[in-house]
Amino acid sequence: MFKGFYNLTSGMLTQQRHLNVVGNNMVNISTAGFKESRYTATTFDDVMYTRVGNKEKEYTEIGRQSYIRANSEIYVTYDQGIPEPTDISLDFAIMGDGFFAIQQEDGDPIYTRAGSFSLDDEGYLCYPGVGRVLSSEGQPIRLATDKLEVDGLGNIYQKGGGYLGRLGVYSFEDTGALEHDGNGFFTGEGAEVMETPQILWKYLERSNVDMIRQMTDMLTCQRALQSAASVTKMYDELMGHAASDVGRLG
Amino acid sequence: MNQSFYIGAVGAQMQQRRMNIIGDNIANLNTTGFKANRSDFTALMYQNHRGALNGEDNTQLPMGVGTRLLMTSTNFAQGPVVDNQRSLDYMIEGDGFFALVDLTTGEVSYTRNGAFTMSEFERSTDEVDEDGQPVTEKIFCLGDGTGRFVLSDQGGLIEVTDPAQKLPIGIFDYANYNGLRQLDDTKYMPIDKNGGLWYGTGKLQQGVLEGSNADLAEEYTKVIESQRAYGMALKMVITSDEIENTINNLRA
Repeated sequence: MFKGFYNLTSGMLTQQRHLNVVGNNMVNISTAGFKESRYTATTFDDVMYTRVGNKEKEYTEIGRQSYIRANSEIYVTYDQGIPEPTDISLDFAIMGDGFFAIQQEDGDPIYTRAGSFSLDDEGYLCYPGVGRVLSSEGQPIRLATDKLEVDGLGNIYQKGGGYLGRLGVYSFEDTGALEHDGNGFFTGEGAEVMETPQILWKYLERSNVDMIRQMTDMLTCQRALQSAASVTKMYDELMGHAASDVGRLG
Repeated sequence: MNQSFYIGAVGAQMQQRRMNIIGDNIANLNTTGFKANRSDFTALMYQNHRGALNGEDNTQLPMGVGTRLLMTSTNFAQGPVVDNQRSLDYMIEGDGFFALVDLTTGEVSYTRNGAFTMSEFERSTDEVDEDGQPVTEKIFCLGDGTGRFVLSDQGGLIEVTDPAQKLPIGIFDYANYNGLRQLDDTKYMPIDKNGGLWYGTGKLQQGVLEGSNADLAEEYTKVIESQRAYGMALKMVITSDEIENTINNLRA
C-alpha cells in the first residue's frame, strides 16, 4: 500500500544526500590538495509486475519497475589541482601521481595531497594536528629549520648546508580503492615509494573542485527534490480521494 | 535540519575568517617589517553513510561536512627597501631580527621593523649624592619608541651620541621561523620549537627600512576568490532553505 510515498521519499532523501556532497565540495574550494567527490545513486533490484487474480492462476507479466533510490557510491576524482606559488618554505605540491604520507599517532600512515606542512616541537616536518611527514625511507624527517633548499625530486637540503632527507611520495596501483578517513585524508594498502616524483617547492596544490559543475549539480538536485515533493503532494491528494471518495457509501 | 544547510554556513564562515586575514594583510601594506599571513584550510570530518544494499556490497560511504581553518602560515620573505633618508632607520638585508628588550619585564621580543628612536635612559654612575643615593645621568639609547630598547651585537644597550653614525645593532636569528608567536607592532616571540638564538647572517643597512611584504595584487586576487567562495557557500544555504520550505509545504 502507498508504495509511491516510499519511492518518492527515497528520491528526496537521495537528492538531499547528493546536495550534502555537492555542498562539501563547494566549501572546500580553498582547501589545499582537496579532491572533489562525486555522488551516485542507484535503485534496488527490478521487480516484475504481473497481472494477478485471474481464475487460472496464470500470471502474465505486464512490466518491470524498480523501487527506492539509495546511495550507491561516492567517487573521488583525483584530477590535478592547479599549483599556486606561496613563497612559504614548508609548502610542497605534487605534480602528477602520488601522495604525501603522514604518520598518525597510532603509527598507521594516512595519505594526502595537501602539502602545507609545519614543524612540530621536536623539529620534525609535520601536518599540524595529524602527525609527521614520512620520507622516502618511511621515516619521519627531522629538519629543525625552515631555511631550506628543495629540488624537484623532494630532496631537502639545509640552506647552504647539508642533506636533511627526502620527502616521500607514495603511489597506489588503484587510487579508486583509497578510502576517506574521518578527517578527509586517504587511507589505503599497498603504497609504493615513487622513484621520480615531481615536487614543486613553495607551491600548494589548489582544490580541484569545479565550481560550475557544483553549481549546476546543486540546481539539479534542488529541482529534482522539489519535483519529487510536488509529485508526493499529488500522490497524497490522490490517495486522499481514494480513501475518502472511492469507498463512500450513499 | 539539512546537513547541506550547515555545510554552506560553515563554508561562508571560514571564508569570512580568511577575509579577516587578507584584510589584515591589506591594512598593513605600509607597515614596515610586516610579514603577510596566509590561511590554510583542511576538510572537516567525514561521516559514514550506508551504501546501497545491492548484493554483498554493504559499504560505508564517507561524506564530508565542511571545511575548517587549520592554521595560518607567515611568509617571512624579504620585503622591499623603503628609503626615508632618516639616519635612525635600519633594515636587515637577509635573515635575522632586531632584538628589543623591555627593561621593566626583561622580556625580549624580535622584529624586522627597524624604525628606531632615541629613548631616554637613566644610567647609574659611581657617584653618590649627599643622601647616599646613587646619582643617575640621563643618556640616550636606541629604542623602538614604545619603551623598549634595541640590543647591540654584544647584547647590551646602544648609547646614541651621533645618530648619523652607524650603530652596532645586533642581528639575531632562529633556525626555524615556523611557529613564531606574533605580538603587536610586528614583533615576534620565539617558542620552544624555534630553536636556539644565534647571530643572523643578514646585513645591516642604515637609512632604509624594510617595507611590508604583503603584495596588493596577490591579496586582491584572494579577496575576489574568497568573496566568490563566500557567495557560493551562501547559495548553498539558500538552496537548502528553499528545500526546507518545499518539505514544509508537503502537507498543505
